[in-house]
This record gives sequence, C-alpha cells and structure tokens, in this order.
Amino acid sequence: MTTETTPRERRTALRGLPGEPLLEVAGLEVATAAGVKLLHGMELAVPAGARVGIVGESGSGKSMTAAAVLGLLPDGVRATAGSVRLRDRELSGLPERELRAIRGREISIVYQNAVTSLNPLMPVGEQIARVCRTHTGVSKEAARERTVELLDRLGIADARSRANDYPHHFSGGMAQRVAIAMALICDPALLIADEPTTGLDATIQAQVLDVIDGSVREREAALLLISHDLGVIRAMCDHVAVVYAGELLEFGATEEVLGNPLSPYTAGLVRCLEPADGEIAYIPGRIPAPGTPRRGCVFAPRCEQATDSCRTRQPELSELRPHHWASCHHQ
Amino acid sequence: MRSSSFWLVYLGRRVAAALLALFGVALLVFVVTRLLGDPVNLILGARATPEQIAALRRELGYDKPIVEQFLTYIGNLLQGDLGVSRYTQLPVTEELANRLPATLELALAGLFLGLLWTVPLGVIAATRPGGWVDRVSQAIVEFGVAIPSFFCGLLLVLLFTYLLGITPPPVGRLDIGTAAPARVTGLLTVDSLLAGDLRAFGSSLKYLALPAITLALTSCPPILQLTRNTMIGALRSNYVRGARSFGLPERTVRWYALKNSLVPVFTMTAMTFGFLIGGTVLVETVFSWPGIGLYAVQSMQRFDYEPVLGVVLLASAIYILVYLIADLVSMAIDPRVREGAS
Repeated sequence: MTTETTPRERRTALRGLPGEPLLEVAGLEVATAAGVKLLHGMELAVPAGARVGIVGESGSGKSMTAAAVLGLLPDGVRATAGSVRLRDRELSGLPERELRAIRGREISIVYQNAVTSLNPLMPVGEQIARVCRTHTGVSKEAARERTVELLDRLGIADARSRANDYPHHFSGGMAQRVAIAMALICDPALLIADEPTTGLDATIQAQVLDVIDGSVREREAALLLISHDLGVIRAMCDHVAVVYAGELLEFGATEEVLGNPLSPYTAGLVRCLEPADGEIAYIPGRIPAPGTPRRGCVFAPRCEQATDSCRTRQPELSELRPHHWASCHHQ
Repeated sequence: MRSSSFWLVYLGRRVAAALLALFGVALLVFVVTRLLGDPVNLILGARATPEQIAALRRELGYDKPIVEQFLTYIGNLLQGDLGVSRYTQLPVTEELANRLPATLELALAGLFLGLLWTVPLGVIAATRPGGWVDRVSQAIVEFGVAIPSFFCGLLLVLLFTYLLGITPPPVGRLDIGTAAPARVTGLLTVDSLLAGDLRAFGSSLKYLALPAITLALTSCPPILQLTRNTMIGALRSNYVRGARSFGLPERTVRWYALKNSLVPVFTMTAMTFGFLIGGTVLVETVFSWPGIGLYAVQSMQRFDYEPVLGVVLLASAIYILVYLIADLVSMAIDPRVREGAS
C-alpha cells in the first residue's frame, strides 16, 4: 500500500490525560478515491489500560476510525492526512508487513456478528491457534493448549472439544466469545470492540460485555468500545468520544461528558438515547452525507443554538474544562 | 470426522437415488423414441407390403403391448444388454465400450485445459476486478460464449491445420501410419504412455489438441465467471476482513477465500463435464472424432434407435456419477454441506 502524501505527524489535542498514552489519533483524514472525505480531522486518545467509548449515529465515522487505526480501510478508501500513533510509533504510512505484525498482536478487534467474521470452513480452535502461531511462533501444541485454556476462561463449556467445532455450531453469544478469544490470544495492548453486542439478546449482551470487561481488566489492556448504546458506554468506559460526521465533537470522562455535556449534540444524544420518563426525544435533521460542503460547525444545521458565527466559523477542539474537550462556540 | 457408517448410509442413499433417476431417464427416452414414429415404416419405406411390415414388427417385438416392450427393454438393460444396432448389427454395449474412451479422453482433456486457464485467471481477475487480467479474460470469455463450438473448431482447423500446418487434418485420433497402443484404458494418450510408445503419444496429442482446445474455449468460460465472482465475494467477506485484522499473512487470507469459493466451482466443473460428455456431438462431428456423440448422430440419421437410447442412458449415468463425486468433494470441503446431508 502506498501513501502519496506523507501524513503530517502531529500530536492530538487530547493531551494530559492520566496514564501513559497508548493510542493517539490526530487530524486523521480519510477519503475515497473520488476525493470524498469520510473522516475530517478525527482526534482520539486512549491511554494505556483505559476504556474509551466511541459514540455517534450511524455514518458518523466510528467504524471508519477503527478501520483506519488498523490500516484496514475498505477498497479505494485511504488516509490522506493525520497521524495514528501507537505508543511512540507512527502507524499511518507503515508498510503492510509491519502493520500485519501489529494487528492481532498489539491491536485486536472484535466485530459485530462474530459468526460471519470467522472462516466457516475451519474449526474455531484452529483459527485461534493460527493467529497465535502467526505472531508468536510457538509450537502447534502450545498454541492449541493456550487456545483451549482461553476459550475455557471466556466461559465456553467443554472448551477442548468445542475447539473442534465450526463457527456455525456456535450461538451468537458463544461465537462472540470465540471472536474475543481470537482477539485476545496474543494479549494485545488494545482491544477494539466494534458494536460487539449489537444483534444479541439483552441477557446475552450483558454476558458478552461481562466477558470483555473481565478479560480486558485481567490483562490490563485498553479497550476502545464502539457503540451507539450510551448505557453500554456508561457501564464499560471511563472515557467517551462523541463523534459526528467524521469529526470528534466532545471527549472526556464518561460521567462528565454525559452528565454535563458541553456540545449541544452530546446533550441531544443523551436526551434521545436515555430519555426522561414519557419523553420521546430526537435530534431533527440528519447527519450530512459524505461530500456535503462544510462551512462553520458541522453540527450547526441541526443545532437549536446555532448562531451566525456557528454557521461561518469552524470551532476548534479545545479543553474547555479540565480533561474535557469539545468543539463548540457556545462554551 | 464422521464414522464410516455415515458415509456408507449416505452413499447407499445416493446410489439408490441415482438408480431411480436412471430408470426415469430410461422411461423418458423409451417413450420419446416410440412416440417419434413407428421405426418399421421408416425402415421399410412407403412401398413395403403389409406382410413385410408385420414380419419386421414381430421380429423387433413391436407387435407386443407397449408396457411389455418396456419391461423387456428394462429387463435386458439390467443384464447390460442395450440391444443391437440395426445398421451395424453390433451390440450397442460393445459399440459404446469401443467409443466411450474416445469421448472421455476428449472431454477430460477439454476440461483439464479449461480448468487450467479458467480457474487461475478467475482468481487473479478477482484480486483486481477491472484490472487488465480481468479485462482480457472477460474478452476471451465473451468470445468463447458467443461462438458456437463447431465454428470455433473450424476456425482452429483453418488456422492451425491449413494456414500454419502445425496440426493434422481433423479426422480421427491417430496418424494413419501409427499403430494404436495396446488397449488398457482406451485413452490413447494414456495407453501410449503406458506402452512407452512416444510416437503414438505425440500423434494422439496432435489429434487431441484442437478438439480439446475447442471444448476448453467454448464450454469452460462459465467456470471462469463463477470462480471470479465467488472469489470477489469471498475476498469482500467478513471472514476475510476478520483474518486480515488479526494480522494473518495475505497468502493465508487468499487461501481462506479460495477454499470458500471451491464448492460452487467444483459443482460447476461437474456440470461442465456432464455437458461435455453429452455435448461433444458437434465437436466430434467437426473433427470426425469416433466418440459416442458421433455414434449417436449417425444412428439418429439412420433411425437406428437402440444406439441413441444407449448413448442417452450412458451419458446420464456418467452425469449422475460425476454429480455424486462433486457432492462428495463438496462434503469433504464444507462441514455445512456435510451436516446438511445427514
């Protein structure tokens, strides 16, 4: 993969968080071959061992950000500017070979609908062991032992024989555990979970989240949880990033951001997703389609508080309260 | 893996179903040939006397009720007796045994060449849809699909035999001066190698080349299309994205995708082979290839029904057998197919 423009290395605005910086995304721009921008200077910070949630409507760029972090953008889409740093290492522009060594080893991902993200023709244990062997070079037997052990810890009964089963033998919740095992087999420093429980029954959802919670804690790994469910984010994450139309609108400690939102968009989301009794709230309008020309604040067209300056001047992402960033003219 | 009894039960069921299908084919072909018109009149012509007609009808068994005729036919069939060709006066079974290897050799060679160009091109085209490999292979596919096989054969003969003089004229399987190798399989290329007769091998290859290329070009393009399309789908699938996001090497990722594309490709290959067995008629005619297709056409022209029935039954049996093999291969590859079968 070649990048024609060398991404400008730049540190994220989200500095000074407690803990060692692990993942930092700064000014990340992603565009299609036709030049339609999908991410507009995305910012994100995940300190080591932290749990950061990304929340936003469909099409806000949540999954695109995760894909860009892994260097796995869809065909024809590429990063055109900005930086993705893992510890001290710049990832954007790294050759595919070096990225491959990071994927599954240092950064892993669990997708929505695990059954389809596993190879249908291979027993699951073999798939997990293969990831382990690709990155660590341990023996076949050792990889297999480690796989069975991990499956067992993640709550798969009779793990040794279930390792021989094929993905379609697993229920949604169990398949998600298998996918989590695959993601954690090499003890990555960062686990990305992209809507890991969407489409599962509520009780199963809670179990799967519990498994993610426990195993991340056990390994002191960081978690980047993508969800449109504020309840899940509240329960799982110490920090939250509110994204909208390919931009970060607000970032900070979860309770702080959701309790005292600085951006009217966050306030609207909280009202919609966690409505008070008897209230059905919604944010009028819709997220701008990719390629829509931008001027001023990207949320202004839907914002009740929008003024002339909102419509003409783009607000900067700044630390408006301690460890609480937002890009909004009203604060 | 499952126990051998599972496979035995499965095979038993499939063989029973195959026999039932063959019975259906026999019934259908019998009825159709009887409905085509009374062969007795066709054989004897318009000026035959009633006595002559009655005599021949008795001789052929046509004076008996149709059900009885059918039962006699099936009874003979079960004993491997397909009747006697009225034209050559030879048993149909014997003629088929003599001619089937020629058709098999041609069909196998055509399929082999076909797979050789379609599957790799399909896979390469799928990794870069719209790239130059994709565009070139699409052009060949369009040519192969659009052009009738006999015309393609004639074009090849014109080019390679009459203009370039590389290949022999399209008559038969061997040079006239070359003795056929001792018969083991009936496939001349194989038998000549077994006999260590390189001269006969070269000669048989020369004769086999053009008709086989014709089949590879005109019958196999669907395999390329299917390989390309299923492979494109597989490469865009969630499990390929998943494999990539765990840092598996691209080689492994492609192999995952290819293995997942194999089941439909195998099925299509089996269909193509079945089609080749029954459908080489035109190519056999162009190249005077002494196979069962040519036999069927010649017999049809002489209103000699026994051989036609025999050819149809044989082609059906091969078709069913090849399908069974394709199903077994699919089951070996895909656990979901395996479980669906039990």
